[in-house]
Amino acid sequence: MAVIEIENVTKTFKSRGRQTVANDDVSLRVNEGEVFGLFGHNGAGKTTIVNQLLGLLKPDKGSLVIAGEDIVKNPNRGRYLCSVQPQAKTPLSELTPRAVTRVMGKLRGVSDETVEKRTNELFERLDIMQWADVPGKELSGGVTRLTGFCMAAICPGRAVVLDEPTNDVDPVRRRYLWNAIRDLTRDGTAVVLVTHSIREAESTVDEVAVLDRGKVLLQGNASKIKAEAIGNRMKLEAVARAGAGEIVSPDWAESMKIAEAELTLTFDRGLAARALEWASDQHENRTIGAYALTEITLEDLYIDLVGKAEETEDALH
Amino acid sequence: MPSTRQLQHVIELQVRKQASYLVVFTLIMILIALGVSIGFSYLIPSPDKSSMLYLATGAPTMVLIFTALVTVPMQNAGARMQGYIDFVKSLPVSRKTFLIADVGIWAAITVPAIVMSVFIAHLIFEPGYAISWTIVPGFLLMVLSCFGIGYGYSFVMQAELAMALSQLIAFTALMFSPINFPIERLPGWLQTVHEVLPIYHMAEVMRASLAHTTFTASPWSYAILAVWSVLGFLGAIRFLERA
Repeated sequence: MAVIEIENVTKTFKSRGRQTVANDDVSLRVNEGEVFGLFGHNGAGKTTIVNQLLGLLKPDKGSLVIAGEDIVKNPNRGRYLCSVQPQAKTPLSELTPRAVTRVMGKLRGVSDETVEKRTNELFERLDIMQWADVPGKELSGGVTRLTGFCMAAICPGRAVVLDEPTNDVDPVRRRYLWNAIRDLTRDGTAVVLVTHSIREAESTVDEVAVLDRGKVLLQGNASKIKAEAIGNRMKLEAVARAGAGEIVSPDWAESMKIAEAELTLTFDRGLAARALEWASDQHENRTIGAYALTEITLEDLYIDLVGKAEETEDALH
Repeated sequence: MPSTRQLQHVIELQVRKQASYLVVFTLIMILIALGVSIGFSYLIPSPDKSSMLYLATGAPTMVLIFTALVTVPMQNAGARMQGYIDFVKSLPVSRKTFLIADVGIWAAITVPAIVMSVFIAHLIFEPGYAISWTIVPGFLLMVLSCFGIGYGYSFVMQAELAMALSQLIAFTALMFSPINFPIERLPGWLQTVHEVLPIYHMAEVMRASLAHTTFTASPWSYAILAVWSVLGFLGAIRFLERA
């Protein structure tokens, strides 16, 4: 069942006579118990979607429905139906992570015991218990961000919107956070995950949508998209020491690209041993530096897709 | 009306966010109140009872103005720039609840300063206080009007401009407003301006409540304050509810 239904939403901002289309006919659907990854460059229109879901912005056109309730008609309902971890860090001043998480739980009507129990669970899960009672102004950026996650996750409601939840967070706690995000969906809560960290989010998301300049470029099931677009291919990444003209693409490779001193070679998985051999030779000849054989990721697809969209756009202008 | 429980939680949020600052501010307001009622008397070579009563009844008004029209707008403008107001707007509570909670907290902070300044001025000068029952509704009306304006302008205007305006208000309230002296001393045009602005009327209502045997406030003063309350809160609510 769909928890969030966004249909044909268009939102334009006007400032000093200039018009910016932040969302251009966007349609998205987030189902119960699903992590929905919303990817896109800076300024792609991701946060505008978030703010419209919360009722902080009104779309020019289109409809937004959360759990069957029309948010365009009743913008006030958005923030009751969705809990949010905003992109900007909330200035906590003297509030401690425990105090602010407790208040957030109580505002959503959870009993004192449940709030206490759930707060402890979340803090232990994210390994931030040692800062539970430290005033917000003394906390590092990462712990403040994780506190923001706990504030949204303490009593998630029908949907949780997480806007760049991993920014500033250290690599170890990032992993804890991804697991905690996955856990949220267990009781049917829908999670909208807005992020640049596609590579990390890859294993967590069920559905994805890529936004570019306000438009949806691609949308669908993450594993399906990967299977269709990537199939049985792999890639070799290396630091290019020689120029583009000096490295000859081997005939078995599907494609070779050298950009910003980085070489990327794609080929069929069956040719992995050959690719390693080739890389080793090139390394000996000092045409390439450090190299690695890796899987093609959603992030690679995303970069290709947005790159192509921008080329088309530029060609049109 | 918002639920009492929600109100309680928002008060907890706002108080815990700035607890030590609120304590410091309470102390500063006490100092300002004493500064006006005692300190200003040094400016007058041989103060008579009437001048002293003006100062002693002006101090509480000054406390309200400094809190609601100077400090709170500064706080709000800062909170807007830090993104805290956006966070508040995304909370699952009615925004009116937030406004009621915040006004309640700041209004409560003025009470110790007002009580202490009246008490100490009475002990030192015995300026002729005669407190009327109107102090309770009068105080409420003054709180509503000055906080309404304070929240209203700090939300409606650009944050940086609101900060600048708060400084201007501090200066003009202290120097050019008939709070601590009779309005007749001001030039005619400035008297007319003060007839429309709320500051003079606040001072009138406060004087009539604290020394009702000496001063009376015209119903006009109450009416003007009521109009300002409505205008201010409408502006603040409009900003908070805006989608």
